[in-house]
Formats: sequence, C-alpha cells, structure tokens
Amino acid sequence: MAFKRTRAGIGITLDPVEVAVLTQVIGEMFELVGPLDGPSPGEKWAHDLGLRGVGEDSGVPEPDPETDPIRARLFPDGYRDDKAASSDFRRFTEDELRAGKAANADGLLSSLPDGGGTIVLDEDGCAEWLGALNDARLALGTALEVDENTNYELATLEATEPRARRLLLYLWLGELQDSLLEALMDG
Amino acid sequence: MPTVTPDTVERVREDLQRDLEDEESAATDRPWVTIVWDDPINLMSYVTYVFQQLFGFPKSKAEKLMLDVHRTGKAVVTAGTREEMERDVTRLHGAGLWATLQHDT
Repeated sequence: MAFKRTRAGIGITLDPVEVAVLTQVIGEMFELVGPLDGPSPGEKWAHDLGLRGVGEDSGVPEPDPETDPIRARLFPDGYRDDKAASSDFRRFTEDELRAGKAANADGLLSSLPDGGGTIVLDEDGCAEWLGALNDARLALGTALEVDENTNYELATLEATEPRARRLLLYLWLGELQDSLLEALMDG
Repeated sequence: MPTVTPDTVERVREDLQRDLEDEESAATDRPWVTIVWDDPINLMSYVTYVFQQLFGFPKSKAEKLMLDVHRTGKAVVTAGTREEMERDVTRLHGAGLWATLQHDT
C-alpha cells in the first residue's frame, strides 16, 4: 500500500480491505461536501436580493466552530476579524468550493478497483486523490481533535478502543497521501 | 448666486487630482495580503506542494514559506489587490489550507 511512480504513471495496488475502507471514508466525506440542506449561501443571497425561484426563507447560517467544526475547517472564514466580510466571501465561494471537493471525492471513488487491484492515475487523477485524501484527513482530524501530541497519545491507547482505531485510520490516510506526494515530487 | 470662476475650477481639479494620488499611493503602500496559518493536520510535504502548484514558486521558496508557517504559526504568501487575494484564499481553501486575507499593516 503505497503510491509508486512507474513508466506507465503513478500507481498503487490496493487490497480488498483497503478499497472497502477508502470507499467508506471518502464516501462519508463526499456526503459532507455535497450541497447544503436548504438554500446554499449563494441561493440565500439571491433570495435576499429578491430573485425568484431560489431557496426558502430559512437561510444557511455561518458555521459555528463550536457546533460544526468540520464545516468551519473545510470552509474557513476568509477574514480573521471581519464577520461581515467573511460572510460575503462565503456567499461567493462556498458553493464553488463544495463542487470542487465533491468532484475530487467522486474521482477517487470511481477510480477504486472493485475488490482490490492495481490502478494507474493520470495527472487529473493524482490531483483528485490528493485533494480528496487531504479533505478526508481534515474532516477526520478535526473530529478527533488531533494536535501535535496525537502520535504519542496513540501509544497510550488500547488498540481495540474506538478512538485508537479512528486515529490509526487517520494516520493511514496520511501515509497514503505522503506516498502520493513523494511520487508526484519525484517526477 | 455664486459665480464659478476659472480659478475655482482649477482648485477643484487640483483637489481631485490630489485625492486620486493619495488613493493610489495608499494602495501601493498597503497592499492586501494572503496569510496561511499553521494547523496540526496538513502534512508539511503537502503544504510545500500546494505552494508550488498554486503560485508556481520554486521548491526552495515553497519550503521556506512552509517552514515559516510551521515555526511561527503563519506566513504571508502573496500580496496584491483585494480581488487577487480573495482569489488566492479561495484556491488555498480549495486545497484545504487555512488561509485568510487582510489589509497589510
């Protein structure tokens, strides 16, 4: 399980378990970056301007880092100390960002070999994998509240604890991504 | 009824000219900047790669910026107009980096 650059391109061999795990993790991430329930920030904006045929009255609120840390991390504020400017920025960008992240996840999922096997990626395929793996790590890492000490923490957990299993998954995605980066930079 | 003399017109014209020059020099002296913030999730190799891909930086510059972010908590990666910086921040968010824009201080 590592990406390697070959004459045919950048490839990887995945066993059936690895394919199943990626299908689940990236599939969950795909759901996370799909269109928002209710009107999207862009539709809300159009509605506020009185444009017809878009959205209902319920707007999509700004993500609250306390209650929705994953959305706040995948779609951060554009301005650090200016809520109004951040809100405007979000209206213009979040839909587009969601579409890009969903396309990466979709690209990764459709490239997975049924039941395991070897795949070779072209340039676009590499970019989709790289982006989707990173988004999955951002979502999982944020949910697990990882920090610089996470590697040490893992050593103190029983391997069977749910948190240990999720941390291992997080670290495995990181190794996968790192091997893809090495193969890309090798070119 | 006040009269507009050629002298008044000239003074107004000079005022407008000065305002314009002030604006231009303010824009040049204090451009907008894009800042990337440190986070515990993104791999160092990934951040370097993103800087190279998005901005066309050579590897040495991309690595230096990545290390600045890692060691000091943040780094200015690009500077320009507000519109250009909004575009850069959007692209960085697309790649999963934590970025904001602000008027340079």
